Amino acid sequence: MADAAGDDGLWERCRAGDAGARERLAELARACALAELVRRRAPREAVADLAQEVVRSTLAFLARGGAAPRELPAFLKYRTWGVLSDHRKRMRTTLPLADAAAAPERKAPEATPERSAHRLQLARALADCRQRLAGEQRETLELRYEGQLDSQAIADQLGLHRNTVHVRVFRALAALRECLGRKGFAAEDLEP
Amino acid sequence: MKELSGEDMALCVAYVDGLLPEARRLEFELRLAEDRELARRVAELLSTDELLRRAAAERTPVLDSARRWKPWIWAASLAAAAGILAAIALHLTSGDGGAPRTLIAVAPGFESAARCIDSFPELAGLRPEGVDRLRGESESANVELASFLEKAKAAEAALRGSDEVEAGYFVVPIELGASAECVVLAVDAHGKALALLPAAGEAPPRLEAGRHTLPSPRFALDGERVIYRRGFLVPLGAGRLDVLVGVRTAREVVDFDANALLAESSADGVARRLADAGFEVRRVAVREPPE
Repeated sequence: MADAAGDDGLWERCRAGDAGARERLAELARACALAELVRRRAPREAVADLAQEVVRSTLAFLARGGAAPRELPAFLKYRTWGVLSDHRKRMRTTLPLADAAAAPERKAPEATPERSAHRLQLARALADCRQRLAGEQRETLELRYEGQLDSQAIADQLGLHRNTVHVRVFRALAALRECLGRKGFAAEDLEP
Repeated sequence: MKELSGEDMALCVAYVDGLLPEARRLEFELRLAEDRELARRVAELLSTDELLRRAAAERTPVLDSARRWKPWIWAASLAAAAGILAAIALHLTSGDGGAPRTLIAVAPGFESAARCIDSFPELAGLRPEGVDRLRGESESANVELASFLEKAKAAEAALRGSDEVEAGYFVVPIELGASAECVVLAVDAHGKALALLPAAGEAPPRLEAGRHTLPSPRFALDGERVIYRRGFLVPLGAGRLDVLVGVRTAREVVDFDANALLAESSADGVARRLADAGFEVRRVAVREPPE
C-alpha cells in the first residue's frame, strides 16, 4: 500500500480526468479494502464483493465532487469499515431469510493451548467487567448482544430515544474497555 | 483525552452499526481520516463491539445456531418436499422428463432501493418503512408495508426484461412451465467464467413453476420493514458479461458442480457444458456502465 506522501495530489489528478491516476486510486482502494477486510475477519465469501463496493463507492464519491481526503489511505480504511458495518447490518437483518449471501463470519485462528488460555482469561475478565457496569448499561448490552436486538428495538423496549441507546452503548463499551485495560488486556488483545 | 460529545458518541455507534445514511457516513469517514483521536475512539468501539459479539456467539452456540438456521432448514425441507411432489407430477403428466417451458430475460438492478422503486412507474415515489434506513435515503415512510409488497410483487411479475442491458447490478426475470433446477453463470469480457447461482460447490436451486426473479425478489418483508436486495453484481472491470441461464427438470441426484465449468474461457464453452449436463440454455448480456 502506498503511503500518504506517495498519494499526494492523486485525488485531484483523478478529478482532472487523469485515467492513470483513476486506475491507481482504484488499485489503492482495493488493496486497502482487502487488507482491512481480512484483518477484521470479514466473511471470506463476501470479501471480493465488499472490496469492490469500497472501490465503487470511492469512485462514486469522487465523481460527485467529494472533498479530497487529507489522508487518503486512512479515508479508504474507514470507507472499508463503513462498507463492512453496512454488510454486517444487512446480515443481521436478512439472515433468517434464504439469502445466498448469508455466510458465517471467518473462523477464528487455529486454537493453541496458549491462545485458549488467553481467550479463557479474557472471557472471565470480560464477564467480571460486565458485572461492574451500571445496571442500565448492563441491561442495554444484554439486549444488544445476547438478545440480538438492534438499537431501535432496544429503544422501543426501554422507552428511550435511539440516540440515548447509542450513547449508553458507547459509554458501556468504553467502560468495559477501560476495565479490561486495568486487568492487563491491551488494545491488541481485543482484536479479532 | 477529551470527552466526546453525546452527539459524537451516538454518531460513532450508528457508524459501527451501519445505520448512517451514505452521505453522512462519507462525511464521518472524512472526519475520521483527519481526527486521529476520534478515529482511535471508533477503532476501540469497533473492536470492543466485535469482542462482545464473538463472546455472545460462543456463549450460546446451540441457541444461536438453531435461531440462525431453523428457517433455512424449514425452507430446504419445504423446497425438497415440493421438488419431490413436482417431480412426481411432472413424471405423471409429461412422461418424457424433458426441459420445461421457460421465458428468460435480463433486467437492470440498482444500487439503492429508492432508485429501484422509482424505476417502476407503478411504485415511483413510494417509500416503505425500512428502505430509508437500509439504503441511506432520508424520506419517511409513506406506504403500508403489505400494500407496497403487493405492488412490488406485481411490478416484478410484470417485468419483461430484455436480451441485453447496461447496469452495475442485474436480475433475471424467469418464468417456468414446471418445477426446475436453475443455474446462472457468466463470462466476462476477459474470458473469466463466474458462477452466480448457485455459488461454486453448491447444488442448483430448485424453483417451482411460475414467475421468479433471480437471484431473489428485490423487496421482502423483514419484521416490520422492507429489505432490498440489489441482484447480481457486475464485477468492476468486467466490461461485458455474457450471462448464461440454464434450466432443466429437477433431478433427485445432485450431479452438477458449477466449479467444473469455471475453467471455460468462453460463453460458448460454458453453454456447451451446460447443455451436456441437460440444461436448456438461454444467453443474455449485461454491459458494465461507464463510470
